[in-house]
Amino acid sequence: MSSTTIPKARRGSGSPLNRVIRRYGWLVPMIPGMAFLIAISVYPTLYSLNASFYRWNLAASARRSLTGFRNYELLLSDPSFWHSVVVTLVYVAFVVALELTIGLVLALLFFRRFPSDHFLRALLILPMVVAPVVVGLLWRYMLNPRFGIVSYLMSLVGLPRVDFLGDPALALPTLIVIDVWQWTPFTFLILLAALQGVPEDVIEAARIDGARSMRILFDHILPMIRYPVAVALVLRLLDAFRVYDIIYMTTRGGPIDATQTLSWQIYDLGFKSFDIGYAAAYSWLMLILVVAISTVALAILFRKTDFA
Amino acid sequence: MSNNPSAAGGPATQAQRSAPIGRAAGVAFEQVVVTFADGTTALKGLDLEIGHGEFVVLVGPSGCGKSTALRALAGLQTVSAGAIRIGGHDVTDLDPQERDVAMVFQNYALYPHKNVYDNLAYPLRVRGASSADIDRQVRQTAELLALTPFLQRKPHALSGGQRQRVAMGRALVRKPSAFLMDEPLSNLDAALRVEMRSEILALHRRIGVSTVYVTHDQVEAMTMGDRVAVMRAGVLQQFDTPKTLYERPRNIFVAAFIGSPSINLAFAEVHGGGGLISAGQTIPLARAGKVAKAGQKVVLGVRPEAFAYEQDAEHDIALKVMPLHVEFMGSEVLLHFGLNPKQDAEQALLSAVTEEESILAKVDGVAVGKPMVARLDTRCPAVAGRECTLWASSRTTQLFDAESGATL
Amino acid sequence: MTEFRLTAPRRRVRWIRRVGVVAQVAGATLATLLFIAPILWMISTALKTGNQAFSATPQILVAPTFENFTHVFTASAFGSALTVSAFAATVSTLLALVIGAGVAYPLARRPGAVQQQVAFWILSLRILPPIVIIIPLFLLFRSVGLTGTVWSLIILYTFMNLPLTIWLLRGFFADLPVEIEEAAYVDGASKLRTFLDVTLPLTLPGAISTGLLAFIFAWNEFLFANVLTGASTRTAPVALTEFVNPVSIEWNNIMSAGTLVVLPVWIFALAVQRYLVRGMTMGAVK
Repeated sequence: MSSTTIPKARRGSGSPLNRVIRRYGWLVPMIPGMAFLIAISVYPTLYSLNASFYRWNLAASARRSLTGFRNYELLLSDPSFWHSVVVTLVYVAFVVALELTIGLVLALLFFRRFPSDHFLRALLILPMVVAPVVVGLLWRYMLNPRFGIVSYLMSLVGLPRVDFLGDPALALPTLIVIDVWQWTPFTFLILLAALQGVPEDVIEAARIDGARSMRILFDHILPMIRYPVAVALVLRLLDAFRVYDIIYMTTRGGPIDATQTLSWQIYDLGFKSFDIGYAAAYSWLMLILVVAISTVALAILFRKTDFA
Repeated sequence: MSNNPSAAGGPATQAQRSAPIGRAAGVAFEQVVVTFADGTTALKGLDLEIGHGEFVVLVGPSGCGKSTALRALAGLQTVSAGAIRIGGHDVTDLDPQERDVAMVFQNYALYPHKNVYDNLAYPLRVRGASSADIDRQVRQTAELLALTPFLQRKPHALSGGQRQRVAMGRALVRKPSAFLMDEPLSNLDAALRVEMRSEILALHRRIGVSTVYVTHDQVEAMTMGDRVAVMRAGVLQQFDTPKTLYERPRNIFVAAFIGSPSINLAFAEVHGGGGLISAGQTIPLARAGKVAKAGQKVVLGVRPEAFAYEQDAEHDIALKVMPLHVEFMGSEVLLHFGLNPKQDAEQALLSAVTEEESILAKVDGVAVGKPMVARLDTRCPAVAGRECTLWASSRTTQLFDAESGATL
Repeated sequence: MTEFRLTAPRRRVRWIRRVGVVAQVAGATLATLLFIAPILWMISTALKTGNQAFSATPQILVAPTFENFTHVFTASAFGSALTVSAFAATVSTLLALVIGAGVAYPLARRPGAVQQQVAFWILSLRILPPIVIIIPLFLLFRSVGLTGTVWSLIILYTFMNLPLTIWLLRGFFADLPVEIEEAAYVDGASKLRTFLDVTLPLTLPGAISTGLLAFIFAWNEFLFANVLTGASTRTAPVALTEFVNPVSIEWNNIMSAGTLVVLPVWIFALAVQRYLVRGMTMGAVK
């Protein structure tokens, strides 16, 4: 071989410092991210917890007084608190149930390939990525009894024009429908991916055994997609609890208090009344509720032993 | 029978090689221990010394630690205890970047987003060589490996064999102190494998860099290595030339691992008067009395190719056998037989068919008592079901201790 | 014992299957239309005049006019809101990607018990309702004078998207065979160099998709933006609320503003639809 000069590899030192670097050096890139996450999650949460033990209203006076669990006591005996709990739970329950069911039906519909399925699927994801404020405004427009398209279509078939968002009895169901509209594509995508992951041969074996389609669905397919279903359920659950933007753009907690969810109440207390202590206690009760429900949901879903 | 891995019984082929390039570099493992995070110990005190320019093969069943040893050499695996030397320097605490080794990975690990030229150039580029030098070196290496027409192609547009050569080129282009290969041929089809084997050896002869080659295929190990290190469960079993491994295995594991079909093994007991009793027949092996005590339980080992169907100067031990099955191979005959002529032929066949290893006794993890195989001349008149006599050689017959498996 | 029929009539099955496909396509198309219809309506309204938008008998097909769009940009300075949104979303996404990669890469390459815990904790951040942290953060930002600027938002959006980028990037890094990186090490490339020369180019598609997803979330966000920004630094979703005033709600303008808010997100979503499910479930479902 010819004599080209190839620079030799640099020989580092095998010093103890090198050994330390080698052992823990990989941690370094993680520090900014972890520090950031901890700072912005832990600090406010603890601050909030702390604040909940005070009687503290920014508007009244800058001073605050320690009251222990008084805020919590007040809350638990406050009927409007319980009302917002009920509103929230009703909302979450219906929204999740409907989205999972309709999403499953859609997923089954799209399961076997057909011409233009990819195109249609690409269109279906669009509601999910629309900003919630836009969703709120759009539906508010469409549901307007005077010039909304929905009322117009209803009048065409002889139904009266209804003010969906202004009727205390209809407001919450309407919000539920709106949420279902926006997020069913989400559960649909997850369930479709899950269905496509079910091994073909198990289905075929069941079919050979004589099982009809509905039976196969319930006996085999549903159990096998339990994990993705759980994921979809918990995620939608968590997101449904947080719903705020839509309410802001449509009913603002009304009419009266028909759509006053926990999120709405907390925002109201914190940024309208500046009653920070109370709002903090509210937030913590909400957090506890959310964690409790998601834990229960997960436990139920994984109650039976999992199979590969 | 001593086995000194660092004995300079050196590679016989070294003299034939052209003067090796570069720095004097042997490779050595010194009491290397590698323990993983989950507690498993992959290497238990490995001592191995590879001479400058030697082609050494690490071979063993999966999980034996050969790949771990190679990766420890490269610096990709940290060592829990012990030291590694390359070219005389202690590199144990050095990163792979600083060790001046080159490696060919099992799946080649080519850079998919770079073309062949850039793949070959990368090691040089990283070291800051000038573009002129890089170009010259890359083209030279490409020429050597017949890769010149493919320089602009990306790995996905290459065949398996071409990719393998690019991986080799990338390792060669640098002229490292040591060359590491992790089962580089296992992803190729049989014909290509044979072809590449000789190509690798030719390259080695030309370049003369110390090479450590890992494989699980003992045929590859035997045909390629100047010396072969047989490993099992993290422990080095034997490190010798292929010839020594074949003729003088240190223990029953090495004997059974090397050679295909593998060595025939049967239990025997040392006879008082010098000789053995096995399966009801007396075997006049004079050596038995010298290396073992009377009444000691041993394992008798005869390689399939050590049998003959007629007595001659070499084959001096008679064995009465019951042939079970004769396979005509064209150039030779494979005779499957049982050592106990009185055994019911049917029963023996059944045990041969089911091959239930679990019901066979094991010595040092090696199953003993399987139906035997002999490679014989096609003129052998043996017929299945009819007892006959085979002749073994006292010189090549192995004896192992039935407890430890060590060669006696 | 019941009798089983072993052979089904051939011709009927094929016919059923064909009808089945037609029914499937029809059903799927109908469902898709149902979901898309409101959005199409929004776009249609955006192209209408004020009078048309308020008509009691809405027309579906109308000669399009772009006056709403011009009005939105000139009279309402919606353009500046869009710019702020773009700025905040872009910067926070880039930060989330870079900082997230720093966490994701070690998590991907060094599996261990600690890493599992860390990953699990990051995942659990999803449970935290933003409401819980917004008040303290508002007070904090106010005390350092960051309220009313874009930067408090950027900090928040980065935080919001970090779990997402960490989780997704971790998956992409893990998918890259480690041997390729090891080959680079043996070739002499330092860890940083290997990351830049080898890891990054090969995980770029995944990183870009992750970035687009993070951008979408930051762009759409309202609650924090509403609280933390001021009149001159408001984002697009916040600016949308300005169209809703007690006197009149200019629906035609709102719809066109809404379309502008939605359009970029759609393009991005279509570009990353492969990874959409993975992103939104934080990698739990692929």
